[in-house]
Amino acid sequence: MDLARLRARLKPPGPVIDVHVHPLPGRGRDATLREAADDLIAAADRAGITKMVLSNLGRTWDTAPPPAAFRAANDDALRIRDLAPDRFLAFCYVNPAHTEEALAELDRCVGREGMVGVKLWVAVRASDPRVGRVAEKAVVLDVPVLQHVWVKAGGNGPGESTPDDLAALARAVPHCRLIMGHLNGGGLRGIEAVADLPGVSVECGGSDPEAGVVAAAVRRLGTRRVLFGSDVTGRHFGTQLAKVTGDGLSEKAQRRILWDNLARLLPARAGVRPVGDESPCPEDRPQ
Amino acid sequence: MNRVDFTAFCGPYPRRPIGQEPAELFRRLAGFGVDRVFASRLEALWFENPHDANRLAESASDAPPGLIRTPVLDPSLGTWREELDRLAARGPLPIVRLHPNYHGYSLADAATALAALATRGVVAQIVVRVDDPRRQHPRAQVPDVPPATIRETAARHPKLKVLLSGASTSALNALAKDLPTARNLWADTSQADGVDAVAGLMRGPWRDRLVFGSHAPLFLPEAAFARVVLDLDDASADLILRGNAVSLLAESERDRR
Repeated sequence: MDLARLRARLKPPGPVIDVHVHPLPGRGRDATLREAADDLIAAADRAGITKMVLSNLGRTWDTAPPPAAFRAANDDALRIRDLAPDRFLAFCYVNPAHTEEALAELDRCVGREGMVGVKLWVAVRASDPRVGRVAEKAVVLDVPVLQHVWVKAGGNGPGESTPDDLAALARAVPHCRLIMGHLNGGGLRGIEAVADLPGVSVECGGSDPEAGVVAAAVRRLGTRRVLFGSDVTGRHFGTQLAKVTGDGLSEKAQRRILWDNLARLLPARAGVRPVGDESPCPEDRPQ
Repeated sequence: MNRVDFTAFCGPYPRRPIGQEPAELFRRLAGFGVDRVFASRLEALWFENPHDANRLAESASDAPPGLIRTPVLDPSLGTWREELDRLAARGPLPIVRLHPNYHGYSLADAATALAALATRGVVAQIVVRVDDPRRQHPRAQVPDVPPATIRETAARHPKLKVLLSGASTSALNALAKDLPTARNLWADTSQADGVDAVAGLMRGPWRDRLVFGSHAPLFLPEAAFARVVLDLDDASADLILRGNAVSLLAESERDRR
């Protein structure tokens, strides 16, 4: 197999929307927003990524950002989005510990600036009632919430959610469209934690390109609740795509994961529509 | 030789049902044009006597010719020299794999064994990590081998060929400045993740020292190839997938003569 054929083989079977992209710090702490955008688009083109959803944590990734910091991060996300609106969408990053300011930021970024989701990281666990208030606001604004989740062998950080925290949030705010970030970080036990919560989807960004995890999620949750995410720039688009394209799934299931499933979670104003048909996937049959 | 994978594993994996036996593993990688796969048994990580896993590998009857059974050597076992003699007596021994973190020794403590490998012209593949420590079993955690200690080992044993395996992109970047004086140090790409990661390494001193590692079947081979071929031109990708491997193996073979 020559390299041209090898590259072609690694391309995804259809359009791809990546729900988990961090644009900064990019190639270095001093990268301009234009450079960050250009680098992302170039790397996405090489891997076959169609659209990227930005969650900007700023240049220093403060784990408990004050309101001024998450506002500034969102300002940068909006500027990058507007550099290439055909390639970028943006989620609004907030710290629920500053609840009133977080809710006001959602009004600004989602309500007025056209962001299409909410990103929550490691400031407050998802089981905390303050996160519940943010999730309730997301319901009102008709957008999904992407929540970072991990189960770390050495223990999570104090504000770092486990799948059980996310499950508690899903039960407290059942109408919220929740996305459990880092499928591999939550692992197979994380899949079990949300299996009976149909409002929760999982995304596969971050972590190593481990075999068998996305396939396990599809077996347990079906083909409709698994989304593609990369966690770029710490990861490579291609290594993360491989979790979907290399794990033995049918092409139809891959297309759902890579595009349609997130398209159904985003508000209509995102302009991302499902492209697949509704006929069953091989994976949808009882196993 | 077409494409060479220096970092693959056979046997059951204790965390998920994804382990592969030699024929299945080789078939999967051959689908990407790989015709030589260096694979050790995963049992070697946890067996009380890791050398028992070498004998397990030797007893497998389904190993295709292109799958090179790569033995694991544990220099903390009193019989490591006997095992090395036994392995060498079986035929060409281009490479052995070492897991100081799983087997509980320091590379400084392994100096005698490493010197013996240098004398015999055997490449020492020293593995930084098999699993992300965050993803390990909470009651069986194995920290990474610090890549800098592997660099120091290469400096202490200038005649030993050292393959640094499973280092992160940031670790490889940090070591790049040492390469002009560390002519006996190579590295694999098995855990070099991030946007433009391998391409960035190939723009610097690692260019003629990077070899391909898939980490299959624990990692998906598609990922291992993507990080190499999507960002590099053909000449650079070929260096990683074949050219640098040919150089390393040729030097090792010359040393063994």
